[in-house]
Amino acid sequence: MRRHGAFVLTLLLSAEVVSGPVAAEDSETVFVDRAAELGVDFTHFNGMTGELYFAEHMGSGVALADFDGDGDLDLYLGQGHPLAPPGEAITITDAPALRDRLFRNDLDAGELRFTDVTAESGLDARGYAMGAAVGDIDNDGDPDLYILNLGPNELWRNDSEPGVIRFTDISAGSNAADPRWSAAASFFDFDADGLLDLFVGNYVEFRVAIHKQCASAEGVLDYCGPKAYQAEANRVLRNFGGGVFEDWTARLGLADLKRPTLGTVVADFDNDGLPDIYVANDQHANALLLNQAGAGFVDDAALAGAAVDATGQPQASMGVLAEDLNGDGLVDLFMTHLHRETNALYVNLGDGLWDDATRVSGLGRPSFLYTGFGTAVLDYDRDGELDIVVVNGAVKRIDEQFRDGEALPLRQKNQLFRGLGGGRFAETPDFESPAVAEVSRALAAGDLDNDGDRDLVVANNNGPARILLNRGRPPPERWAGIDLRLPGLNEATPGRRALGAWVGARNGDGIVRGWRRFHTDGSYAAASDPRVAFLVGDDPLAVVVAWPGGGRETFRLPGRGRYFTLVRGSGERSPLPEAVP
Amino acid sequence: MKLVAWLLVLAFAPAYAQVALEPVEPPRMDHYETAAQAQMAAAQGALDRALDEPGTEPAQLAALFGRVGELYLLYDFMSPAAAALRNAQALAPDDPRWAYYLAIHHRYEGALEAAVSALDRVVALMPNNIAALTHRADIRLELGLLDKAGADYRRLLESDPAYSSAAQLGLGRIAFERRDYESAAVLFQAALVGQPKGTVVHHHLGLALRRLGRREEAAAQLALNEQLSVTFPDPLFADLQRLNVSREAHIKRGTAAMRQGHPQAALAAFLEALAALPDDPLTIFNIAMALIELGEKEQAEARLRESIAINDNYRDPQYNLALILAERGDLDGAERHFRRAAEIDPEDIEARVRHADILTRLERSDEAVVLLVEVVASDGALPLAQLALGAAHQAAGAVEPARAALEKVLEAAPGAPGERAEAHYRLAVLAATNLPAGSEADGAANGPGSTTGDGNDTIGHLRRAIELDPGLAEAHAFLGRLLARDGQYAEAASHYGRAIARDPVNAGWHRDRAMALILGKRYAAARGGLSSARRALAGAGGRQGVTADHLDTLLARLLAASPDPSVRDGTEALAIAERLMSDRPSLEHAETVAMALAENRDFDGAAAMQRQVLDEVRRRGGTPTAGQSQRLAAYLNGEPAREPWFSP
Repeated sequence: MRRHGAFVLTLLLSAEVVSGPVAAEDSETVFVDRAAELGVDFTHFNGMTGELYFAEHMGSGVALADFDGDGDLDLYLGQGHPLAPPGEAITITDAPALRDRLFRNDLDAGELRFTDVTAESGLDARGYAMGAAVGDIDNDGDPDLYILNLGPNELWRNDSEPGVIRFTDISAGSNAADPRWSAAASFFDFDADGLLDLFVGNYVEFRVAIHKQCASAEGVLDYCGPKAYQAEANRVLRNFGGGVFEDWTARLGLADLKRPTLGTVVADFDNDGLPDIYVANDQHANALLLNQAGAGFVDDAALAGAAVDATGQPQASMGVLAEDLNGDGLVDLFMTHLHRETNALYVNLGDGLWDDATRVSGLGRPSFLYTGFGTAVLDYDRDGELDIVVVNGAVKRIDEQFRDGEALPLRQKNQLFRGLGGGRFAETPDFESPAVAEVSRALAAGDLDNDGDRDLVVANNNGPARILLNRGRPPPERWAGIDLRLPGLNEATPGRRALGAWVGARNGDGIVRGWRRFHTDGSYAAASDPRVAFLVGDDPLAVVVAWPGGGRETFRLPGRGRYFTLVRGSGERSPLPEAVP
Repeated sequence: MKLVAWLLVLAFAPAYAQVALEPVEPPRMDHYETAAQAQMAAAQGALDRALDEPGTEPAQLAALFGRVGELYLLYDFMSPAAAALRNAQALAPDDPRWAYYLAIHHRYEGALEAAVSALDRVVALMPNNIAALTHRADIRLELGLLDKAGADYRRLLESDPAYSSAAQLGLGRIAFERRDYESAAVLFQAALVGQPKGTVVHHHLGLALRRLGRREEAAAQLALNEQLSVTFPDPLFADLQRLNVSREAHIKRGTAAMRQGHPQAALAAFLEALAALPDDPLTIFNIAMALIELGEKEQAEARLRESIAINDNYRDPQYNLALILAERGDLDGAERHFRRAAEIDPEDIEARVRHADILTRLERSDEAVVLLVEVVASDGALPLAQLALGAAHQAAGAVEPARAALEKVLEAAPGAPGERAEAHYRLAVLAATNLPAGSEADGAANGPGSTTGDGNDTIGHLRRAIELDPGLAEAHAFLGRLLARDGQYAEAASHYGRAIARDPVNAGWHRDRAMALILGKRYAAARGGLSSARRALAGAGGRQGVTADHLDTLLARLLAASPDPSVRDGTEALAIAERLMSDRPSLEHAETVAMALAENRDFDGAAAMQRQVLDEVRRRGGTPTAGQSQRLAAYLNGEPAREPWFSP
């Protein structure tokens, strides 16, 4: 082979291909990676052997939650392990002890530091982790951890005390140890019995024993897509208390919901006061499961216009967000997708109908050449408009990286989209430093240093976890945050967090703006900080909370510059729906 | 070194020297299949040689750059593809192909404005390339340039009917974006015309109807969407696709051919795929599937075994080999491979059910019951599993569990008429089986073939089975038998006829239909049916112990002894009877010969033959029947037989 460029009369320079991390730190970027100096030395191991096992390029998982109840977010990171047919041993010479890890946040006077407490916490999780969900399953006020695996899922009960994290594995008797490959889960109380139930999104039936060799349309051996394997069924597990769940999938009319799911999110999509479920599926139509108030769920996605893209084709949905992204007070949907698709924004029109607003949103075209996974909202520039982060990583080998001999040639840059208002966005180049292109998968967002802005944790496949600290740091007098809880069982026991609440800020004009969903689910393979921070003007901040299960209250925050816990029943009741702009 | 060489020849500037060419960075392609690598290497080699040759004409060089660009585009090497295609375009600016393929490249890269520009060029150079106009319209729509897209679509509508669906779809989408749902629905309806089933137009129409509040119609349309794209002729794109020699391309072609009902073409494509990547178990499996469609079951079986020998972890070859083995009666082999298929995919309920079904047929119904009880307890169990459980219980003689399982099918499968029909059929068999001991249906456990059964319950189930699945042949035949027993010969013959339509070589059903017609005095119809049956069975052999000889015997007797003179044909009757007697001498055939002789007025011969029959019966220790004696008496009196309906 020869280079024809040597013979041309006019030599055109080809664009330089950026590969690998760029060392220089750009002081203008919004986020800066501080993982190493904060004590988070976690590198994901995907177990790849060269056989291109389907599962190896999909993990892993991350969760942010205040496990020890000391007011700051602790960190869980899921790990992989070698993938090989049974009986075929693989020697891993330099692998660390392959187990999921837990890092306690030792935030002290604004100084952030993480300590690995995996061993003493009792969290001995050694499955092939694929994701995580967080919810208080026993109403004792602390978040429990549900680990999604390639293999049986694990349910870990939180038995922590302030400053001391302890977990107990209660998978065995819980009926929640779904043996399938699970990628996403949402905690929600679908039957309003006061206990958090669980929706588990399962992906495909892959085991090393049934590994297939797949080739691209061009004839290149590559990772399989989801259609190479049977899709797995999703599950709804009803919480019966005492750490025991029961499979209610069929009873709720969802036995046939068998598509490769990678993202789930629960919200009241039809404004009837009941939690619904949106299921993001890989190369299959997405599902919008509307809660029928005791009569199960009905998938209304196709009729509503929220199942497939504007051309009528299903997309490879991975991560998913449910937030009010156009400021009209209704919850919208944003999904991350495959290279040569685009990420998508579905706008809720409010009457059971949805519009694919991807084109007009500005979120589509910049994402065309990337494969998006985790995603989160924040307001990095404090302009009152939600911005969107998407972390990327290909699933098909990138030729340039492959040509350079990279072992996992799937690296892509991550993206930040600035909200312009009205459901419009523009990509901003100043996202993170060092500017890296990695194989990013899970993304959790949360205020790690309690300074009023959201930080990010990116779990990379076969690479280091990144702690991206937000440099925004709003002045204390300009923000106030809220944490929402239901009443506790008694005075000594705080209530569980009110996942599924919908909260907005009421300004002096009485109009409620900036509606946010109080949740831990969404994104990809991640559980995020449910707390919400609002900008505060000159007047004290009042927030309106639409509680899960019904009822609205208004709370006037007594201060600013920190998070306030609002308990249901302690605010002013708002009998009438709040006005929206 | 090549650069030096080039500088040396600059003095003899080649014909294309005035054209600025870009470097084409060769990609790494050692991970591609050999055929594709060879194809790209050959194209590059040809280009290299042309570049070395000062006399190369620009048009020739353009074609060579173009071919390299096409191949890189095809095999997803975007950067070198773009460079090569731009070179081709620079050398041959009037060739629309290079602009067209550049447009495809731009679209793959998300550069939609550049794609539109390239298509502008194609349209200018080649106004009759309607496909380019279609793509430009689609991209303009994607860009939100609704007016321009609309203009393109309207131009399409005026150009060529082959593109009208694409145009109507585009115009409909524009109307939808403008919230004009009435117009959108009308346009989408028009776009459906001439398109295959399952296109995305159903999705768009469904959404428009939903916006119009016509929810049920919308749901019906949405259910029809199989995400197939609207098709239109696209010659340049088709040319590009034809270049693809990868295994996946061959597989795709083969799969498409299979879907279109062309297994021979599919087989050829799959064999090409195998040549591209030998020993690929899935390709070999595809070859087997094409062979099955072609009726080459033995070859198919060999291919399936080959696939399994390479990798026994694929479910589909195991499952399909088991199906073939079951069909040819190798139940042990079928059991082995269904079991393996179920092991590979423990949630494959179909494989587990079929495995159990084979166990039942192997008279291992206890094992089948155990397996099926597990299956029906699992989530997502199919009504088929309950059905098989009913059959297994039935085979084990457990009537009540069988009935319970079958009734569950009726409860659990409102949307599965086939399974419900089968359940009703089996319940009919059970109802027939469940008569008190000593009744005439004692033999019903052997299946409906020997069942007369309890009329009402049995007939009720059979009628419901047929309502649900008019093609359920066994139910028709069973009902035919019950109706004939009750003297309802016309309806009985009709049901046998419908059973035969599904299984034209079932000799037993032909026989029973003929008997129902004869007993219903429809002799001509019986003759016609028997003649058809003989043709159908020629070479196919009989079934259920009833051979084609039996049908020949019945036909010969009908021709010899029908009360309807228009049906009788002594010559043909005698020919058939003598052939039967010659091939397989028997008392039955001898009696038929006697009947035929009598119809041909050879009463002496008939009487002699009939007397021999009676003597032989007595010699064997039996007693001749009244009919046999009466026929002898008739022949002695110079009268033919007129009782063709007695069964052979």
